[in-house]
Amino acid sequence: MNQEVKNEGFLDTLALSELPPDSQKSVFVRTTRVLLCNTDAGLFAIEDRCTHAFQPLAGGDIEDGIISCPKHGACFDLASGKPTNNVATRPVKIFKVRVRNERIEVDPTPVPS
Amino acid sequence: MKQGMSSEVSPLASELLKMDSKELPSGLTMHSDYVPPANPIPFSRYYDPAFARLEYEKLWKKSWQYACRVEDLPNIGDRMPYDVGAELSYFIVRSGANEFRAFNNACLHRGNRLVSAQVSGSSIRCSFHAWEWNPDGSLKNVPSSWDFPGVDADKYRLPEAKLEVWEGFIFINPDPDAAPLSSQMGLLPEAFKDRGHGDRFTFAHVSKKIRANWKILQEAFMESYHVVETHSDALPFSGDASTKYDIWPSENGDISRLITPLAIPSPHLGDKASTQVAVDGLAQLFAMAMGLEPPKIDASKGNARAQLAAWRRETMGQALGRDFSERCDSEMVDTTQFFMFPNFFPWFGEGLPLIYQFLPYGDNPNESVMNVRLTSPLPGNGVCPPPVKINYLDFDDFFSDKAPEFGLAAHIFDQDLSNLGNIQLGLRPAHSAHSKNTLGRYQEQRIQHFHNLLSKTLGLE
Repeated sequence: MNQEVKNEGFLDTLALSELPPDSQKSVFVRTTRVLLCNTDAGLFAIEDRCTHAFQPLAGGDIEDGIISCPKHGACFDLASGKPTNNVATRPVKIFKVRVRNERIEVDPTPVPS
Repeated sequence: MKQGMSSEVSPLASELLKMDSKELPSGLTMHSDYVPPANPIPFSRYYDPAFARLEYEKLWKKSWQYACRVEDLPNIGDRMPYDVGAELSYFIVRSGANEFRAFNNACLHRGNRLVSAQVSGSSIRCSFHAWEWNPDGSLKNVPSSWDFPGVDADKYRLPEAKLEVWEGFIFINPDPDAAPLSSQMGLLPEAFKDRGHGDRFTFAHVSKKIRANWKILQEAFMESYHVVETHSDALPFSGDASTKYDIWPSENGDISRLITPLAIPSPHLGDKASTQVAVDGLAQLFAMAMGLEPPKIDASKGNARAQLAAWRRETMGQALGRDFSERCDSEMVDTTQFFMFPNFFPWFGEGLPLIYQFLPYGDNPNESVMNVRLTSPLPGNGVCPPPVKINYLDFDDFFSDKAPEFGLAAHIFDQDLSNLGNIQLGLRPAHSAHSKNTLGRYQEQRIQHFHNLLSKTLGLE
């Protein structure tokens, strides 16, 4: 899968117009599935894989910067990836995300937790 | 009995096989209408120490069991342990160019464990007092032999278990009176005939400790009914509910098989699910695993699986320098798994070329070991790569973190493993009226069959 490498190692994902406010979309960043979330609190990129049962987080409710896994209810802080209830105990990987020229770009290297 | 669920865009596996662009091998044409009798499976089987004791005495000490593969031991003197809990331990050694032996893994002096890992060398030497044996089991040296007048070479050969090799798989049987391996294999040799399993090699090998009984582990992998919940992200390209299950009882051993078709949407996704998404989803996984760009497949032509299989034949052929032109679509795309009692799971074809082996661990029936391998056909030049090291994962390790060699399959195993410890935790507190399995009549019939065989073997019928 060819993804155009932008400045500072960021990879192109999709147009900002494809991710309107209060929406989320799962994309591949190289071989990792990443959930892009456009929320009131900003734009976030979190691995689309819950650390509880390793299922996708996509489709989970987002409230106050917290995403709730649609399967079994594990909750994670979108900004840090840390679990906020006890369903999961391990953080989810998060990634730096930015918008350049109306395109959403993601750094494929996870932010150290 | 209804045999699976289909949708307008996702036929039953048995129907997909009829549409294959190539001739099917016997391993896929075989069919059975046998339905195992429904007998109760109490949860106590999974945690009762007395039941585990019975298994050691009547199952593990009496059965043919897959121990390892020939490519693990390429040179004379190479050896590795085979442990069944804390009760049975053997080591398998290549004792000649085409000869293997299995010995009790305890020194004849004071019982020290002789082999704890994959090692090489011309003699088997005890780490305690340096007693030594040759790879054929004959006594080589006893330090201060003057002090052991009763120790002679005949009496102090290493005790040996029966051993046979089939298609590169090494089997042992601790029972000196056991009938030949073929007595336990049923139709397995016919199913694997001419498919080259002897010409494969292991390229990834994980040994994972899990906090669940060994039967809980293997039963979790005997059905595709769990895909809808446990692997929900695979539904767009997995024919979970359209899986074909078959069981062949015979006088010469019982085997069973599942064929889960891929590159079609799950019937759970309904009649409008996309066949294009289905084939693209699987193509992307195959392409990632090989570091290639995914192929462009047009599902509107109606033969998406055949197109994907053709791409697989071409790319695998180029990568390995081998000819896959006679391999059918299902072999290149689907996940087909055979089972031979009590715990041998050879997979069939290239869709997901795994080998499973589930074993008790230590003295605790609530813990076990899952040994899983990924295999590949040998390169066209016939040269087998050096043996891969076993990657030992502890109870709290994850495949995704510690077994990158499993690629995208690591994610699938982590999904499965996230359930297993919790299953074990639920067994003892279960309400007395429901402290037994309630199995799906078709989709979980292989589990019923396995327990029927287990009951027979343990004398519980």
